[in-house]
This record gives sequence, structure tokens and C-alpha cells, in this order.
Amino acid sequence: MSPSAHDQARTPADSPSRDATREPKWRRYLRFHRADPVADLDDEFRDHLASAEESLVAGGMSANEARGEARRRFGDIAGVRRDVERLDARHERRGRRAEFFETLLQDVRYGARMLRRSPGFTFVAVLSIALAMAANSTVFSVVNAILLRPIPGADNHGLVRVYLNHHGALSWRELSWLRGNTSAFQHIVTERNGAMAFRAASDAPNERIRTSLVTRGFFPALRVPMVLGRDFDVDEASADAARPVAVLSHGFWQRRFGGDSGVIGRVVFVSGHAATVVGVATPDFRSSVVGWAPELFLPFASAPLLTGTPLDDFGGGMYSTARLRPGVSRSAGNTELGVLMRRLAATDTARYARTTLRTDHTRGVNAELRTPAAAASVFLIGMVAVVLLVACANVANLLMGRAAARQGEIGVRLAVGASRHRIVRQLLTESLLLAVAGTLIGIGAAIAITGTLARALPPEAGIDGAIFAPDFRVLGFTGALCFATTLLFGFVPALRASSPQLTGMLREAAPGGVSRRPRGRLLTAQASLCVLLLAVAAIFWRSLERMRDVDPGFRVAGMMNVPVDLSLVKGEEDVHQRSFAALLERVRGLPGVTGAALAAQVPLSGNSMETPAAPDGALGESGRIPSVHFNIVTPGYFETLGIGLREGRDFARTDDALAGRVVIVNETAAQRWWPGQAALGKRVRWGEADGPLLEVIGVVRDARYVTPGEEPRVFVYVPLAQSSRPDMTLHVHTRAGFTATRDALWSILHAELPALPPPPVTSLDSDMSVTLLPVRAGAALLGALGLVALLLAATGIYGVTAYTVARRTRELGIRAALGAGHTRLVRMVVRESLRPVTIGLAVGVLLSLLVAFGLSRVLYGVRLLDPAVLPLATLVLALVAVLAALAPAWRAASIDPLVAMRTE
Amino acid sequence: MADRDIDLIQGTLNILILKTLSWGPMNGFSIAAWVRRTTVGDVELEEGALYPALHRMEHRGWLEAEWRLTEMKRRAKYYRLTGEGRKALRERTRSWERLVSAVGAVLGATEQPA
Repeated sequence: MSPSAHDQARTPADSPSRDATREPKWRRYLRFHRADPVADLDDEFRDHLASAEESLVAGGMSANEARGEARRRFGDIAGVRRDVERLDARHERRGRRAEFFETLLQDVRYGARMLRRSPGFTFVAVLSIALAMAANSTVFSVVNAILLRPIPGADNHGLVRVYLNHHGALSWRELSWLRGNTSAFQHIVTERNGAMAFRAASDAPNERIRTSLVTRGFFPALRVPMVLGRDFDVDEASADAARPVAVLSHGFWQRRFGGDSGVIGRVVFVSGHAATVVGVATPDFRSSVVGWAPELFLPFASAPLLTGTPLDDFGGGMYSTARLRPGVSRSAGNTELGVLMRRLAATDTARYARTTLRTDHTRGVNAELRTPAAAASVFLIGMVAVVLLVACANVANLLMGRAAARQGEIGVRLAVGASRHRIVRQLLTESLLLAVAGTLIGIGAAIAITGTLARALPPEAGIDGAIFAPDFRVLGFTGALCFATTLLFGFVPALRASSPQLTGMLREAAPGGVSRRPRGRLLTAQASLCVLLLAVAAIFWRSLERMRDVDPGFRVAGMMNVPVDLSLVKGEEDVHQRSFAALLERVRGLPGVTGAALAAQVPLSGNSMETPAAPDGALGESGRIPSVHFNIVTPGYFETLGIGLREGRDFARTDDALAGRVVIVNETAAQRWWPGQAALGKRVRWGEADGPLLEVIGVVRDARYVTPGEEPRVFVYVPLAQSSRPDMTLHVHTRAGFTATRDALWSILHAELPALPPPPVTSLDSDMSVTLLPVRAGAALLGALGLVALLLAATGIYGVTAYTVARRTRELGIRAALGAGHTRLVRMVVRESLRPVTIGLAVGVLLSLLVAFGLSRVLYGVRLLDPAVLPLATLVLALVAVLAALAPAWRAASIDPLVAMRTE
Repeated sequence: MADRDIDLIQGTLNILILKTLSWGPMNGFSIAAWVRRTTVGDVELEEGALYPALHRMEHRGWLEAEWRLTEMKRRAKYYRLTGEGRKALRERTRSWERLVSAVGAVLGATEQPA
């Protein structure tokens, strides 16, 4: 409304406003409640213009002239109004903000005082929240590392991963073709993880280090700066390849060279070749592959020299990353990859008939691991969410009990005119204080736990534990969770505590009579969630035990493993073969050793190899061959591992590179590939549609190969002499002691292969435990969570029950006075206290059945209900409830009815 | 209005308003009328320009406002000087006088600078 609209209503008879009377009280009262600055401004301007007109008219002007003159003198009404409104609005905002913080500060102070006054309550509440927050924060840290975190130390904007089909690796040939033909991508680079022998000086001993071979432009593509020196940009086609250069990781530089800045230009030895150190990478950066932490980066150009493999033979294990040109979107990049793929397919139709290229974001683990990682994440988050709920139920219960105790205080505040809104806000602030304290402790615990986790990782695994450290995402998530938790456990108790009816009733009526039911429900929920957690933990535990008990199909006791990686030692292929043969010869001669053989893969160690293979003539129409798991072994392997030969013969020395190619299959392969026929003498197509044909010379018993719980699968073996490989594991079966055999093996290795760094010697048993690691970690974690939940539930049940019963003292006194027997009273109280817990236990058992049904599809050997754990948990919770009810019930039933009735 | 003039004009306006209100509570129109009468029209004041200054000083705590009802039953907003406002008036007056005497000394100078 503009002031001019009101000018019409003015009459010339209006007198000057100098002697205005005071505004009536009621009007000020209204303003007190609802200030209306816009209407006020209207009134103010209207008064000004009217006064001006009156004074002009009094000076002899006509009413019309006076109106015009008053407005002229005022100036730009709309402009002034805009300015003033802006000023007022700003002032209002500031005022409100200041008021908000003032109230908050006041509430925080008051809340802190109240919490200090009941340290027992505060301790239990904060502990409950801290336990749950520690669990949540830790799990989210892990989820963050494996699913959310982009490549650390790199500029991830515009960076994508490139996969063949869903998550396949680009081969060297494909990569270089793409690089030469792309226009959407500035860089397409690849990183290949591995290990090599390293010497800091020519006369220093060899050590085994983690390496990454990276293609040209790798560091610029990821925008990873060097803290020292320069990165390398070696053209893979150039002659520079013969003089390798190296970039050190920051960690390796610190650890191995003491952070010496004179390291640039220094010559080190990698796989026996002199290499010049040219740079040190930035400390944040580890690798483009999440979790991998190489110590040395080497140019791909030097790969043939260092590994003996020609560039064109590099296929798997290469992780490709690409940077889009500035201004090019990812979808444009995808489109271009589609076009390029069709062009590439035209060059080799058979090979690329069904191949596609795609880009993927750079967050978390590579696409091949994402599905299991996501599944594990969802499961873990579900479990810790349950723990959080149990903790919230606990705190809510404690708060309700406290609210009943504080009814006097709250009643007084309501009576003296505090609004309910104000009381709720105050109580919520108190809850927030609890939550913040618990969260801070929880985050501290999470940092400690993830740190311990990182240190607990075996260094040989080459996994970078730093990725689990909480970052801003984890802190943000935990902070948000803190507020959500506050509302979850604080809101309902605050509403109930501040309800005028409730406080009124509580003042008059029998104490404890009103607030019992919702707290009973909380107990029910808590007990059921607790049972659920324990049941799931038990399921994992049992599954683990069953896996450990399973017959793997090969000998485990007395088996020792030694990795022998001849690629760490310079030499040609036939030198390798001779070295292996000599090694086996000497090991078999050791006292106590009953068998020794070499194999490319240790069964059930978490590693496996696959290759396309199928019975001859059984190729699908597409010409694509399904992949099967296989192993490369030497003669004597089956005997050494105790894998029974069913038909045919073992590999022999004569099955060498010059003889016809042979293969041994397991029983499942024999049955599936040639049902009802003899497998011996049949042929297997190997590797590709036009790959070699291998003759089946033997059938061996099935074993477990990849996971202990797996279904029988097709598995085949090929002889080492016909598929050269420098990187093998020596299996030794011995009756002698572990240490004696280990030392004997080391001395043989040193004599035969002096250049080889002493490899770790392990038992097959411990190698197998790697496959059990996820389940074992899961079982340990869930066990811990289950115990936490049990502890929380027990505290909750005890607190609530004891409190509720204590509040019934007066009622029990009356009953006793009316003649109820002592035993009867106690029994009644205990029975009533048990009811919510019993219902909770029943619900929990039902929930557990549902979850167990779901898990039985994922885990090995899941039984729907575990016979030991569930009754135990049930018993503990029930016992806690009985104990909690018994003592106060006994006391209440025993005291003099007269005293009891006077109790408040 | 050029930006650099704003401070000067604002400051001057503030001091005029504070001085006017030192005689007692007034509404916006009366302040404008008093200024015009006292300066005999030497200060050409757009009356609307008073209001941002009045509201700003009210937020700052130099003035407090009170609503009254005129004889014509209009709501009128009366401004009154607070203790803070009086203090501000004293300070501003002093610095204004210093400024005037300094500028006066410069303008009244008879010797050419060396």
C-alpha cells in the first residue's frame, strides 16, 4: 500500500499532529506480538505527507497545491521506501539471528548444568551414543574408501576410467590405437601394478618392491605434481626406453632415501637394469588404482626391457584412465569411444564382434570390484544402523525416565509461563549436547580404529591403509548423523516431558502410571534389534567355522609355500625352466620332504587365473569361448598336494615345449564336457577360437579352488614346460618341522638363485586364511557389534525396569496393606517387567529368521536359527530384566505399607 | 549522488537530526520543518532522505521510536534521543567543529605556500 492511496482519505480539516495523544495500549500489545514493518512504514509516510499538507494549507495554499508541494518536498517516495525497507529487513534478520544464538547459548549452559548434575545418566547416555557413532563412523569410513573417494592427490574433474565391455582392461595395442585416434580425450593412460627386484646401489642386496608401469603422459593426465625433480614423458616408440628412468613415491623416498633431495639423478637398479631417479611424486598421490600403493613408477616404454615381455603382449591387469579435453562432456567422450570402437572392430571383426568401450567415474574401487563392495557396504551399513537404533532406544528410555524425575522442574517452568515450544527446544538442546559429546568420542574412536586397521594390513598386500582414514565426507556424514540421532532419541521424550496434561496428571495421580507404555515399547524394539544383531553375527561365525571345516580336496597339513619369482632375476625363458628344474631337484632331496612341485596359483589363496577354454568342436555360434579357471603346474603336483588321479597319467618331463600340448582336467570338467564318454584322449581348445588344441592325458579329483564354499567347478591344469611363466610358487610337503624346512629352503634358494631376494615362506594353511579374511573380519565386526548391542540393551532394560518398579513403591505398599502376599507381589512385578522384553525377543527371533533366509543365499552353510547363540542372547536379556525388577520389587514389597504410601 | 559524497552527507544529516531531537521527541515531518526553519532554507533537504537515516540510527540505538495517535487519529511515529544518541551528538559536534575550524583556517589563509 503506498502512502498516496491514503492521501485521498485526508480531510483539509486535519489539525497538525504536534500534540498527538499516546497510542492506545491494545495497539502496542498487538505490535508486541506481531510487528508489521510494512504497515508501520505506510503509517509513518502517511503522517509525514498529511502533516506537510496541513502546514502548507495553514500557510494559505490550496488543498491541491499543498498536496503537490508536500510530495515534491518529500522527494522519491518509492525509492526512500525501498531503502528503508531494506534497512529494516537487515536489522530484523540480524536481530533474529542474535536472538537465536543467545537462546542457544542459554540452553547449552542450562543443559550442561543439568547434565553435570546427573553424571550417571550422562555417562551411560554418552557412552551409548559414542559406541554407536564409533561403529557408524568406522563403517562409513570404509564405505567411503571403497565406493566414494576419488583418486587422492589427482585432479578428478574431467577424469574417467575406461573399460572394455563392463570392466575389462584395455590391452596395450587397444590403448595405443585409441590414443592415436581420439579427439575427445586429452590423455588416455594406463597403469599396470606389479613387483620387481630393486637395488639402491649396484652392490646393495636385492629387495622386492611394488611397482607401477605407467604410459606416457600419466602424471600430466592425472595432474599429479612432483615435489622434487620432474615426471617422465618417455615415448614408448623411442630409443630412450633402453635407459629407464623412475619416479619415486613420496613414501618410498622418505622410507628408503630418508627424504634426501640429492636423490634426483641417482642411479638405482630395477630388475637388474640401471635406472635414473628423475622425480618424487606428491605425498597425497598413491596410484590411479584405489588401494594400490606402488613404491616406484616406471615408464611403460621400459617394460620390455624390465619384464622381458614385448609391449604388444601386454593385455590384462592394466587400469586405464583418461582425461577429457576441456569443455568435452563425459557423454561426448562415450559417444566418441563408440565410434572409435566400431572403427577398431572393422580392423579385427572376429576379436571385437561384441566388444564395447565405456567410461566410468573415478570414485572408489574399479568396476570389477564394485558390485561386491557395494553389497558389503549395504550390509554393514544396515548392521550399524541397527546398533544406532538400539543406542537411540537406550537414550530415549533414559531421557523419559529423567523427564519423569524432572516433572517438578518442568512443571514450574510451564507454570511461570515458559511456552511448550521453549521447553522442547531446551530439552532438545540438552539431547544435542549428549549427541555431540558421544559423536566426538565416536569419531575419535573411528580414527583410532581405522588407523589400527591400516596398520594391521600385511605390508606385502601393498594395500594403502591411508584410504580408510576419515575425510571430510566421513565427518560430514557423522555430523549429519549426530543431528538425526538427536531428533530420533530426543524428540518424543521432549514432547512427552513438556506435555501440560502429562505433568498435570503426574502431579496428582499415582506416579509411574502414565509413562510406562511407550518405554515398554522401546524395550521391545531394543530387545528385538539386539537379538537380530546377535543372530546375524552368529550366522557369520558359523559360516566361517563351516568353511574352515570343509574338505578342500587337497592336503593342507605339512604343506609349505614359497613364491619364486624369476622375473626378479635376469634370464631367458630356458634359463628359468632350468632354474626351476634344478631347484625342484634339490628341494626333493631335503630330509623329511616327501614331495615338491611348482604351481602358478595357490588354491584358496584368494587369487585365481582364468582363460577361455572349451572342448574341441563345442564352440558356441558366437565363436566366443567361456572362461575356465586353470593352474600351471609341474610334474608331481598332484602327488605333492594329495589330489587323487582318477584316470590317465600325471604330467611327465617329456611333456615339454617340443612335445604335443597336453592338459589334465578335473572330474567336473570331464563330466560336463564329455558326458558319458571317456575324457582321456579328447581335445581342448585353448585361449582363442583359433588357439591350440590340448590333449587330455589325465582326470583328477575335484577340489576347492577359489572359495571354500564354492560349488564344484570346471578346472584344468597345464604343464609349466608348455606354458612358460617366471612367477611360480613352490609347494613342499614335509614331515620335518616348519622352521628347519624353511631355513633349508632359504639356503637352497640362495645357492641356486643368489640374485633372488629371500622370499617369504608360509604354510598353505595360513595362505588359505586369506580367503577367509573377509568372512573372518565380518564375523569379528558383527560379533563386536552384537556385544555392543547386548550391552546397550542390557543397560537399557536394567535402567528402565529398575526405575519403573521403584516408582511403583506406593502402589505396591497399598497392595501390601490390602493383604497381598510378599511373594505374590514380587512375582507380579517381575512378570510385568518381563512382558515387553519377552515380546521383543519373539519379534527379534522372527526378524532373524527373515534375515537368515536372505543370507542363506549368500553365505555358505547358513542355518536358519543358530542353536547356541539365540537362546544365550535371549537368556541374558531375560535375566537382566528379572534382576532389574527383582531388587526394587523386593524392597518395595518388604517395606512398611505406611512408609511406602508416603513415598513419592 | 556520487559515492564519495554519501558519507559526508550522511554524517551531516545525522548530526542535524540528532541536534533537532535534542529539543524533544518529534516525528519525521517536524524534524524536516525545524531544520528548514532554522537554516532559513539554506539547507535544501529532500525530506524523504531523513527516513533511511532515522531508521538506521534507530537500529543503532541512538534513537528510540514511539507510536502516538494524532488528533486526526493518524498513527504517528515519534523519535526520541537515547543516552547513546546524546553521546553521539556530543562527539559529532566536537569533530564537526574541528573540521569547520580546520577548513576555515585553510580557506582564511593569506600566505601562499612556499
